[in-house]
Amino acid sequence: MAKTPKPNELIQIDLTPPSRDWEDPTVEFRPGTWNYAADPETLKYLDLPNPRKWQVSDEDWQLPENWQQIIMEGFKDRLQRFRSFKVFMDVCVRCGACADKCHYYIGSGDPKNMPVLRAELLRSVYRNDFTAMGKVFGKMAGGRELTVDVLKEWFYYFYQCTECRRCSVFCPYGIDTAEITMMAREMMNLIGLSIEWILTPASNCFRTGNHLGIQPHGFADSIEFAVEELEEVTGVKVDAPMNKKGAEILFVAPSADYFASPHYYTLLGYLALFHEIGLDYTWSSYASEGGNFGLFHSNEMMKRLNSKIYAEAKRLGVKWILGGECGHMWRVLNQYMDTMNGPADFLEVPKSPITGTVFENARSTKMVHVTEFTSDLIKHGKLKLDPSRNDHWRVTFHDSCNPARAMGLFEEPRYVIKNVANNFFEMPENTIREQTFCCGSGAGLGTDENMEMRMRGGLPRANAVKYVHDKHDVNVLCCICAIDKATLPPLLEYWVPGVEVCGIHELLGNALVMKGENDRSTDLRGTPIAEEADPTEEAVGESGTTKEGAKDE
Amino acid sequence: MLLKQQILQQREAIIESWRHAVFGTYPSESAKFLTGRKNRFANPVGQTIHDNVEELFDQLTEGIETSKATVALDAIVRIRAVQEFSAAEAVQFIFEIKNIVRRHISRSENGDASQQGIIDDLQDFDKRVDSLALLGFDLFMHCREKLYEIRTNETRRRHEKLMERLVAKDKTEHDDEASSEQDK
Repeated sequence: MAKTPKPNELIQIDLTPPSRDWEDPTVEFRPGTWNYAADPETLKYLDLPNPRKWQVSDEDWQLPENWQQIIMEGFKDRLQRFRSFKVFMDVCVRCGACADKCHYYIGSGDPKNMPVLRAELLRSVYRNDFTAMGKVFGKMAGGRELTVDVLKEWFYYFYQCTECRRCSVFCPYGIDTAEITMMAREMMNLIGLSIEWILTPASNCFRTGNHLGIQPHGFADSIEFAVEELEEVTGVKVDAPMNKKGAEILFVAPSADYFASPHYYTLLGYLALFHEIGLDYTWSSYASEGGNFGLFHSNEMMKRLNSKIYAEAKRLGVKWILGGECGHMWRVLNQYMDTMNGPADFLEVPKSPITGTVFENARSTKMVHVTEFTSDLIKHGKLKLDPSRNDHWRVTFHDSCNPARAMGLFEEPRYVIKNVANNFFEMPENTIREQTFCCGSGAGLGTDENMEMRMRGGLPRANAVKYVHDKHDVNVLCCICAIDKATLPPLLEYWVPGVEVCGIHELLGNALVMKGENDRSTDLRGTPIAEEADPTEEAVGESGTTKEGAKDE
Repeated sequence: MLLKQQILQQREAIIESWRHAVFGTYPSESAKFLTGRKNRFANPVGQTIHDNVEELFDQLTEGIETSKATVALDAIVRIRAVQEFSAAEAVQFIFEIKNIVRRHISRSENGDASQQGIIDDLQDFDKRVDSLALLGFDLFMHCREKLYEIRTNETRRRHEKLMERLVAKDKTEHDDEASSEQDK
């Protein structure tokens, strides 16, 4: 039996954690800080190597016998194929500019979440096996041998990076840490180390076109259901064309929009808008998902899942593609789709049929973001809007990582919000736009078993929301990302109770005055709209914004 | 009163020592960051600890006002409840103020922790620290329970509209069956 400590021994708690060398790879897989392993059946379905039953909490991960050889060959292959990876392995001078920029580091205080140190977990193995100095001097040259403990450490920390790229904004060499994480994950996939939350949606998407595994008739049903619900709220029966050949535009949205809350109200907003402007568009029951969890797995998986978008555009004979409110979807569409599955030379350069605006920025991809499209409509006075219908909301905007840092989409979302809502307040300067803080749950980490880690990672974001909540009574966080809409509500429930989450097109749907509508006594959520706006409310638009935070930087 | 005078004379030094004790519970590389950057948005953990330790100190010296003490303590404990700490480790820093105060008194020129008046005052002070610690445990538990509640709520939201539809469909089918039974 264990010795029972005496009271005076119990009170002697050593407050300082034991000092460990960073090279010591031992990690403790504390419940709440990691994601479940993928089901072997899913790996088999996707033809992925080394499927087997294992769990992160197991001591033995049932690694294939030659796992080190597989990883090393995968490492070598990627160093040869991806010039950027090779450069990122060599060029870092450990200046530390990125160190305190990661939301996981800021929230957890775990040094290995400094992007430089997280990357070092991989670099040390690179040095040991792929550089002359490392081969000769080993540890003295900063090399580390790839052991089971090092591998477990990789798994732990590379699934604590949301590939948000905030650190890259500050790197003087432009090292894209997200790409380092991607490479590490790709190499772990080679020996069957993948997580359930990424692979199950990926296999669903491969089978049915969307992450939820909804079949075409189920998808059509969902849209029909939303049409009926919109009619109940607005009194207007809208048309939602499905697989309509020869339509001018194909519209693609993340699948969470038609099942999850609060995403669903954004879907109602799209439907109302497209009806009101008489847009000749179509949904596709095959391209029924804009999101792409392949991005979080490997470039091959991303390409596989993305291919349906251009294929459906071609099959339906549309002129160009419009995309909904989603985050990582836009990194894939804006940065990779064209070279991955293009060229889309069968499509035309997107041109708004309502305003005649040509979207030159989408000349190559042929795909336009819905906030670009909507802000153009508003700019040309094509929409009748009553922002007072959003007076029950005091709004702030969260720049979702990918639209912000992968697309530079800063102004359009704000322009739409300021035109559809009277009370808009910016969060502090060093927490928005290109410096925006991640929700802490992207890149496949938004699982409930990982909740404790998500709360750490989302702390910097929530902290800025709390500031505008306390100062301006902000009660809704608006965003344009489906993962944000799923993961910010729990984050705020923990850190800033009293603040809800919505999409931009939900606010637009509330404010949109539709021909033939009823008295619109409720918003799209069914919440009663305030009878009359309070005249003491602060002014709309530019004057309603605040700039804080950076001054005491 | 004797104790209070002595404590207040060294207010800043005691608060700084207490902050140091809290930051000392983090790995040394991170402690430097947490104490270094003064921007509340770039360093929310550091700033939360910095500001609220001071408030807690004032509560202990001026008398605990539960609502204020709860806000200040919650801000710190809420963070530590999701970091790598056990329940004991998360709130242990509260007890630490007892040692810090004693250390500072014994170091001061006219301070004498064995003076009868001081001993009595210290007992009162310790009681306040203990009640703050008990509050800390409550807050820690509340945060941990909240985490589990959040997990459940998230699962519900994920398929909320799907569930609504299934319930509506089920109800329609049920009503249809009931009306056809009536027709018979």
